[in-house]
Amino acid sequence: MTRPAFPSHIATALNRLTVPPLPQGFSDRLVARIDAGDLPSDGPSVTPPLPTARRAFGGTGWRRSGRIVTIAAAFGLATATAAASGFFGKPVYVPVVSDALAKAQLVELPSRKEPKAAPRPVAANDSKAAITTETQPSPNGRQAVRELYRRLHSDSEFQSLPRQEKLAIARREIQAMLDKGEATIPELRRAFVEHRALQNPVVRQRIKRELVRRGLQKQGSDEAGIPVRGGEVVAGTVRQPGSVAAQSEARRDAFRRMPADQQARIRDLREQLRTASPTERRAIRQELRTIRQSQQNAPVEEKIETAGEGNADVAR
Amino acid sequence: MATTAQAIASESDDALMARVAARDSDALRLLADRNADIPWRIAYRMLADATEAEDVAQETLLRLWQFAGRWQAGGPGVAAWLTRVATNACVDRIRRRRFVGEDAIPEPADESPLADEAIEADEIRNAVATCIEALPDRQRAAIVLTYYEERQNKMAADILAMQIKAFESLLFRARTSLRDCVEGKGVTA
Repeated sequence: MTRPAFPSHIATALNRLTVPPLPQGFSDRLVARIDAGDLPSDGPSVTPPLPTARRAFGGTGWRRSGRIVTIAAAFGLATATAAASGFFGKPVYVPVVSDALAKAQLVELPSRKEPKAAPRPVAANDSKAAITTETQPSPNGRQAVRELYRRLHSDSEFQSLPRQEKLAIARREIQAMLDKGEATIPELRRAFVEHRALQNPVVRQRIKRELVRRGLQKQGSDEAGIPVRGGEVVAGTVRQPGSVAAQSEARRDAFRRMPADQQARIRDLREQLRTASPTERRAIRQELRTIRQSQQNAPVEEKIETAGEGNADVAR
Repeated sequence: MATTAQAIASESDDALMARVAARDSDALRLLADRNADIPWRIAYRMLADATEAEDVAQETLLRLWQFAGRWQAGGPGVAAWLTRVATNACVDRIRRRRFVGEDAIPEPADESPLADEAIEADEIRNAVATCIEALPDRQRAAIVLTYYEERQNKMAADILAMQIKAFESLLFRARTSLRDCVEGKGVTA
């Protein structure tokens, strides 16, 4: 049962809108119009025209831009897929697309090219990095390049030239070396980095210290802990654990070679140092120094052994 | 002669249309006698103007005369065709009124009720006609087609070239507006 369209009272009212019968002579007037040729014309409709259609491609700027981006992305994806599937010849490995195609068993996974390791940037003032990252140039080439730098650097006439001329001369010399095959480009680069590093005073100081340290190590191992003085090494600035141990051992050895009475006397004086006043300590140290100097075997100034004997506070 | 007239009267719409296509005005007269009341009723209720309603009815039948050459037998029939054309002609006239202005429309003919009709009935009918006339053109057509002409929603939607859902929405709005209008005028039939 369908619901009535209107309530009963409304329907009753609507039903009062009756239509009178067709006017008399309707058909006659109709035929008369046909005979007279009074036919309705197919004129334009009075209804307002529809608004102009939207633009064929896109509407607002955002919509058009979105479509352009979508088309570009689709084109890129299609190209990547074609390249990965070998459409352009040999399949190329495309990171995601190739994996997906291989997973779908549509194409074999091509071998991916391992990216070349990017060369490590070499700091101009880092001589260690310059030494370790270079390829393996021949020693002769490096030496030739170094010699060129040294020769140019020591040439006073060259040094007096303007910078641009110096650069031009250096380039000519380097090009001549390359043409002759005396040096290669890697050697040239390495020599250049080294040259730049040597111009840095900080690097030069570090190199000098390193050389001194190596010399001390070598000397310590040769002479069993004899402290080194002189040269450019300042005593106490470079402490070498190996040399300290050697010194201690030398002192113990000298102590053992002393007569028994002197050994007893030294032990007694050390005990007195623990409780002596500063003035008394000074006298005790003087007496100890005299005893040590009396030992002819003592090669260097002997100091009281401090390590392991509980008198570190009176050493030196 | 009477036998001939009887034979013509018993002819189907398709047969008559075939004759109309052959430019037989008698056949059109017979079709008008059968179906002219359809565009007349629709136009009368939609336009609330007897003169315009007769004009629309005649125009509809003249278009049938013009269209007869393209008539396809076995279709929905002449009545359905007239309903569609008359409805659209009325909508067209209503819109034309809107653009031309009410001043250009001649005064409605005096359709006052007969003397023996009650004054109250006259007021009710005028109130309903006013409320229908106050509806927008498509809502007016929807009410006339579904309520007075008793067409199904689907057919009415097809006449108005609308989707059925859209037509039902339109019809709901039309009914609500009409009911509110009639009740607002204090009609108690």
